Amino acid sequence: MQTISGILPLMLSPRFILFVLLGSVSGLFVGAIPGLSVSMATALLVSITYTWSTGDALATIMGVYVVGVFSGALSAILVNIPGAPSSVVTTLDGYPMAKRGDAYKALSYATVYSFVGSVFGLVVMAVLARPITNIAIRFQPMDYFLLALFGLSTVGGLTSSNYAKGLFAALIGIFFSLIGLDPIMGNPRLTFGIQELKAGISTVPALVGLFGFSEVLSTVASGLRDGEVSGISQQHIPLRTLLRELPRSLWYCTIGTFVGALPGAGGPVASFLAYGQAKRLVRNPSRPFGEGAYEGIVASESANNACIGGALIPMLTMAIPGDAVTAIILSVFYVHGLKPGPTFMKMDIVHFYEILAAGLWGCIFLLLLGLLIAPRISRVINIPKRILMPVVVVLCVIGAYACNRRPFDVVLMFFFGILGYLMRRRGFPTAPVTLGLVLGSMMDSNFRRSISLASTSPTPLVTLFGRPATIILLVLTLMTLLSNIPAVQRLLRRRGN
Amino acid sequence: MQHLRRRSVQDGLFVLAAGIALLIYSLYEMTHARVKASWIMSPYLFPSVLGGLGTLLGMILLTGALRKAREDAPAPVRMRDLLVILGLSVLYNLALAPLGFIAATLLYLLVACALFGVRRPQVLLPVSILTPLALYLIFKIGLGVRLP
Repeated sequence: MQTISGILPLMLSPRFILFVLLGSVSGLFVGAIPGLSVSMATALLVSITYTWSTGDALATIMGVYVVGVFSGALSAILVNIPGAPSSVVTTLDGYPMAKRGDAYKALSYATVYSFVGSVFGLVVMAVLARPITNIAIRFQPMDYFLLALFGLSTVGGLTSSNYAKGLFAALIGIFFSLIGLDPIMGNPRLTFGIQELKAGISTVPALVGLFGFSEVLSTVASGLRDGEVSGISQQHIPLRTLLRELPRSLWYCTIGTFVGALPGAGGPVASFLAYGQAKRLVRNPSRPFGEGAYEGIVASESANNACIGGALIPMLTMAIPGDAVTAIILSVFYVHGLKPGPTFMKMDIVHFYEILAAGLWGCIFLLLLGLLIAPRISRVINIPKRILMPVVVVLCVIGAYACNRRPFDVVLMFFFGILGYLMRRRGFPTAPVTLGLVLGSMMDSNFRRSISLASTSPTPLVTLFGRPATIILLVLTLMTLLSNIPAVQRLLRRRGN
Repeated sequence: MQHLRRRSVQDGLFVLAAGIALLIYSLYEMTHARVKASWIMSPYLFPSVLGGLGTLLGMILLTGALRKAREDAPAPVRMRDLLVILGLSVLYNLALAPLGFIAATLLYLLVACALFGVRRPQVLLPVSILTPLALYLIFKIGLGVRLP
């Protein structure tokens, strides 16, 4: 009730709605155009919106986030190139449907179930944020450290086929977050005599480089080929037919929200898991899975959009981002002087309402834009990459510079872009770098605080690990680490057989 | 097969070297700090832990690489295009201060698009001229963003 009365004035504010619409329209194009990504757009928006009021900035960014995650399905269906990593699974059935002449039907299913998924995730966030905050408020420094470590150990395994490479990518992110003045002692650390590094590595240019410039380099290096767009003929699909998948969709949404809430996991994992469930649950699909079954699109789109609400829960209540985009949204909070975490729901409840209201408006715009505009923008999706990529470089330069107005940040952006490209080329994932970059400083200070507390205690090990929450987090982290060791995996498989 | 395995070995060696370098550097800084602090509060405590973990991961990667029979060949790289975008981006960054945003962006887009194979002037010129103007209007005038 309190939440409803909190979001109602925002839901009715024309200015607020306008900013969400602005973000939603941007999200529609950004998500749909291969080569542009939601992470890239939100990273750029951090620097553009830092002079705006927090409400306007959050409204725009949530619009981009909600609609951008959905619109990755447009290019997945029409061009067979997922606009976002979470839409990879949508290509499996979406493109065969488009080739068969059912592009409109595929888009309709993607739109309706993206809407269902997004609303589901946001409602769960609204319901669970307070209880989770009440738990998080009792967390000690070691709990925060272990929670972040758990997130990084999860993301290491989910983003790369080689777990050690995923973990090393997270270490790279933590390493860069430690550069600058030490927050406890105030000494310069890892600056190697470079004056500009004393201020630390600004998150925005690093993220713009990792997601924007490195994407440009990867696209250019792999050849600037453009996809072939399938034609769309408008068909009438009765609402009853569209909604027939709703009960199963709610299960996929539950999977998506849960996976989204795991620090480090995100849309790609959720959509793969939900697709696996769909294959198991749907006995008689409209077509075999992988050959144009709309049930596959329902699973993928419900789950990846439900991740949005799920990913926001740990970010708001514990300052632990659920995925790369929420890591970037976390930096928006810091840029605007907000402190997400256990006190957020008490001190900054207005901004919680802003996120929720913007997310819900984003869902409404997703439905409208998806059904009315998306079928008409297939030409825009196919902007030749030889024109698009140089323009993206210009946007990256603007994004890197705008936040701090430091030319050095543009150099940093180029550095992180090249680093991101080289990492992808050698099979190291870049998503853990983002999480390491955002979480590293917090991990460092909480680690040292807990060691310092334990050193003065007569029973240091009990002080460090003697609380139930700490034990649970420690066990979860160790289980994640162990379950990713190939020898343990082989043993478990043998036991399973 | 040996050649294919070489990449994984290189990755393992790189991670191992990076881990050892960070570990040694952090331990050196911990022991030779100008402002003496207990090792618990030292700013280099956490970097030394990272260095240790990096060393461990390097050993794991290297062991895995030496055991592996083969690996997938990497996708071919369009080196010319990659060098073009890298070189032009650096030149663009250098040109921003003396030429200003609009002129530098116009020149950059003109050259980059042309080198990537956009030949038709009716496409090349509008893209190069209108994009910087549109970006200037949107970001500088519309959104109040300071441009480089």
